[in-house]
Amino acid sequence: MTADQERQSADWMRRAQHGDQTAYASLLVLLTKVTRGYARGRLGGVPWIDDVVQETLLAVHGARHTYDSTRPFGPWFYAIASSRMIDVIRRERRVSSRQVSGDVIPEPAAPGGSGQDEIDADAVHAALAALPDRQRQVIERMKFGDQSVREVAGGLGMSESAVKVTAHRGYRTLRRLLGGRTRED
Amino acid sequence: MRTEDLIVDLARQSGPWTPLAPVRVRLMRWLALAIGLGVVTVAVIGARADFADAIQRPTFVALAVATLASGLLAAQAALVLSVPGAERTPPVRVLATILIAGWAMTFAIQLVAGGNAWPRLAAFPNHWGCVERISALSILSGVVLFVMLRRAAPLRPRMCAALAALASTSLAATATYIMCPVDDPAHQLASHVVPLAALVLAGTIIGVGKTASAFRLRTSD
Repeated sequence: MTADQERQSADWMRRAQHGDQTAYASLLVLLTKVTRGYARGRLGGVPWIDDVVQETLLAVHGARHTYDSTRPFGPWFYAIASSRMIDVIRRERRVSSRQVSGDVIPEPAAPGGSGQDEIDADAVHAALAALPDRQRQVIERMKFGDQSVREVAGGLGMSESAVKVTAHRGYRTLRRLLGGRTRED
Repeated sequence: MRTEDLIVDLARQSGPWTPLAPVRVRLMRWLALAIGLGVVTVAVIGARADFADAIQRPTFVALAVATLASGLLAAQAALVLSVPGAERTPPVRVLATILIAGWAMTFAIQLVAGGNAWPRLAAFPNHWGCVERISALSILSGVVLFVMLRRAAPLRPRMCAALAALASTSLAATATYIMCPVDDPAHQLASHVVPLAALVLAGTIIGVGKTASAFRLRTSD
């Protein structure tokens, strides 16, 4: 983050604090760019850079009341960004280790009998069980409990944006765990 | 969900907000409560009968100051840690830990220096009154401190919870020390140091989930 970007961010943050949604959106757009560069610089070309970016944006949103406008914006932002990046790295490692272990997800049913798009129910349940807790809870409530995003958000004490991001991430992990055999979310 | 959609979503949700009070203000608020609670308890139950003599002894004063300072520093460190990027002086939490460790070690050294340490420790009756006072004061002030931390954004919930537990138990130990008439190190270890250690451990385990979940639930997984 350059000095200019830091000054601009602090200014947008101050305006957003008084309810300026345009300033807040501009801030988030800038932080997206900065976080992406920050994560690429440390992680290289991993496919989950966007997870780090989205996690950081959500965390910035959740912690925005802790920003002290008399202090520089950079240390506050980078503390959040690096913490979220570490969390995403840990989660990806967990999911990868489950995927690699191979004994968690049963082989999908052989295509044929009931159609190529169908997947063995046991494989789906095993893949669900392998998801991080929060992703599993969100997907179970939305898909099996027929709850809306708002209902899930209320039930789990999350923001609606966090539910959408978590669900999206869960579907993507499921696709990966099931070898890309699922139909569209 | 695309990042662009998330930005639109977050911007739409965002309205005016009130910034969290500065750390020094939150620290003063908590200290007013925690120390006030200790002072009221001492006033109601009464300080040890020989308190006027005890405060003439450097060891008594040093041990009381050590727990008091440990409590103040740990509370400050916990509140600072709950604000992203605010910590500039990590030695504060190290100092808080050193002070409380020094306090505990002093009683251990006194016990060993007196000879027959283990038999004395085993034979010494536990004074549940001291355990209850430390526990009650710690829990009351600790709950408030954890609530204050939950309202911030603790990125390191484990460290935050441990410091908060140390802060509340240290101040509770100070008040209890002023009320307790028993100077024997065996009693101090069994009825003050061990309960403090147990409460710090329990507070950390319970608090880490509470402080972490409050912030994480506002985000995703």
